[in-house]
Amino acid sequence: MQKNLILSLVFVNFAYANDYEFNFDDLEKIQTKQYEYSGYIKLEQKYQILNKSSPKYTTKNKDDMQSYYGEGLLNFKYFKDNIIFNSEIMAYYENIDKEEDHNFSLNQAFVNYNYDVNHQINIGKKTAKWGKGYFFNPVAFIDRRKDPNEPELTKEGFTQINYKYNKVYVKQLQNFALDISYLKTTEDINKDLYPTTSNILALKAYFLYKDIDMDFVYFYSNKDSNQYGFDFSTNLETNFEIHGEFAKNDNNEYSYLLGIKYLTQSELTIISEYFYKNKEQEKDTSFWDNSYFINKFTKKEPFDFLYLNLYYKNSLNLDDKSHQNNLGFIYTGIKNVEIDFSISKLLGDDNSEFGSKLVDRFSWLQIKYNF
Amino acid sequence: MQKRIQKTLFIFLISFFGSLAYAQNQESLLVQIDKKLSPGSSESYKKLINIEPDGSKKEFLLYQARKGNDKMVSAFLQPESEKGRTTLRVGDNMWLYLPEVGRAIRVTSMQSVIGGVFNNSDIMRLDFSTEYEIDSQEEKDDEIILITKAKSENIAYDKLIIRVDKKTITPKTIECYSSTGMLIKTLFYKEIKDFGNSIIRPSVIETNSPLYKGYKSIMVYGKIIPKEFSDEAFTLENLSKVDNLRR
Repeated sequence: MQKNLILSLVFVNFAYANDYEFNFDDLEKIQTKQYEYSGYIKLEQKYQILNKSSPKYTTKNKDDMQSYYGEGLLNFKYFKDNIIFNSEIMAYYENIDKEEDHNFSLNQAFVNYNYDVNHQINIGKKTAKWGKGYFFNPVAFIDRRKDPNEPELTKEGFTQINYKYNKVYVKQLQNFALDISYLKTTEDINKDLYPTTSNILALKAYFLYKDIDMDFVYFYSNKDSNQYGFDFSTNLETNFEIHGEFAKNDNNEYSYLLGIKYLTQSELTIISEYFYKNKEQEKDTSFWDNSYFINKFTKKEPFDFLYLNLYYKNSLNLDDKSHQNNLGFIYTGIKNVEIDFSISKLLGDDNSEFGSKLVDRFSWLQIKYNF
Repeated sequence: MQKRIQKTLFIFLISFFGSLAYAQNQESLLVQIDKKLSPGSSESYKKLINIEPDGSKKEFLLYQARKGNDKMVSAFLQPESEKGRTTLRVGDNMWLYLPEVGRAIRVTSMQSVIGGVFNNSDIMRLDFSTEYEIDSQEEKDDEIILITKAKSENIAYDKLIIRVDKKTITPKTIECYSSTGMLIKTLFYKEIKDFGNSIIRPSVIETNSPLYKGYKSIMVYGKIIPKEFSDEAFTLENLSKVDNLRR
């Protein structure tokens, strides 16, 4: 017994002695290289129970269906003096109720030239990622439309020539940054922005003024309507953030969002966003209606369960009162692996947005391995 | 009568300047601790280890750059799942950049980007003298006990009780309290190490918390090197490229 105790004490001390040191392996990891790569492979499985009162139900005529999805992403960077070559490629395979599809895309491929700390140029295909909203981004004029169910999936950029100016001040205006992009569209390039030949100039002016992030954005097209807007984000308290976006175009179409992020003392994070647009979209696009209210509650490490986050998300269509509910967890306790599992239920009248969907409820599992 | 007024005035001036000098001395002790812990502008490499009650561990390798007393950026180098995640702090403002999101989002100092006992404020700590002022000071054997109060409500911990080693003027333990007086965690500063460039400080910060019973987190400093950075290195525009500061 005593021997075991001594052995375990020696082991504990030895273990902590190692923890307290920065060893050679650690030093090897901090060496910089001429190139870097990273990426992930993720696998998803979805089991869906179908909605018999959906108008689309006749296309399936069965109780349930299975879907599988696999995606791989590789990010590669090469460094040479003041120049960085960035690229991101992605491939996916999907099997939705035995209907297969696959694709390969070059999400980004651009050269970044840092002239000095204030000026830089980017040439090539890149994402802009404008906006402050978590689920919607009305001001993201040169990004692909965000799907609030999977807001991180807008990975593919547009081909552009981009200039950035960045300057720090020591006054109430702490930081100013200017972002100007020129994009040419043809039937082959940037066709998701405009289907034929056009010239686009997009501009974003960022200000960090008195602890408030603010962006003013402008989109000029010689063929399409011009767009303009602004966004902001600030902390009212250390645990309470508010943000918003407003965008309008020459055809009097406008949209806006107001959102909050609040962290309670028990480490429950609440993200709420109200979104309104005055023009409805095609009904086959997700979130096509005028106004939505989305709330997500995430509880960090409940019951001292390290690396586990529980979440509940409710997406409410305020016009027809239908809604989608997701309850799930994310576990990151295994090195470089992320497990995300959720169950979802759609509720609403038969002719409402979520009530008329083909799927009534589903379970979803995603396993992601990062390298 | 005139003598009495002179005497009163003399006592008043003595006590006024005395208390002023005392306050300056107290203030300078926090400044002295700050100077011992980190040079004004520097880069550092840290290892963060979360240890669970069953002994299982998760390690993170972090690069940090700081400038002055209000600017700091961090970038995760390891593990791969965290690589590319960067955090920026400018004064009380804190932003997190996630590569999968592609833009910066505001975060709070009480959140933890890695899980475990350390939160953002522990990992992105700026100078004590920037955030706290001394409420009281007591000398005891080989240590000085400082009770400090947060200068604003935006600081993660409302009160710190710092036990300072008299010899090295570095913290031995720091108890962190919430505004309701609840002990949130205790930080133990250990293993004094010479990092070169006259930087001699504890190389290990260990923490536990009554909120996470049985859990422990350790922060190990591998390198601290004085280095100058441009102000623009600490902006949202640069957040996706923090790793380049190492080159």
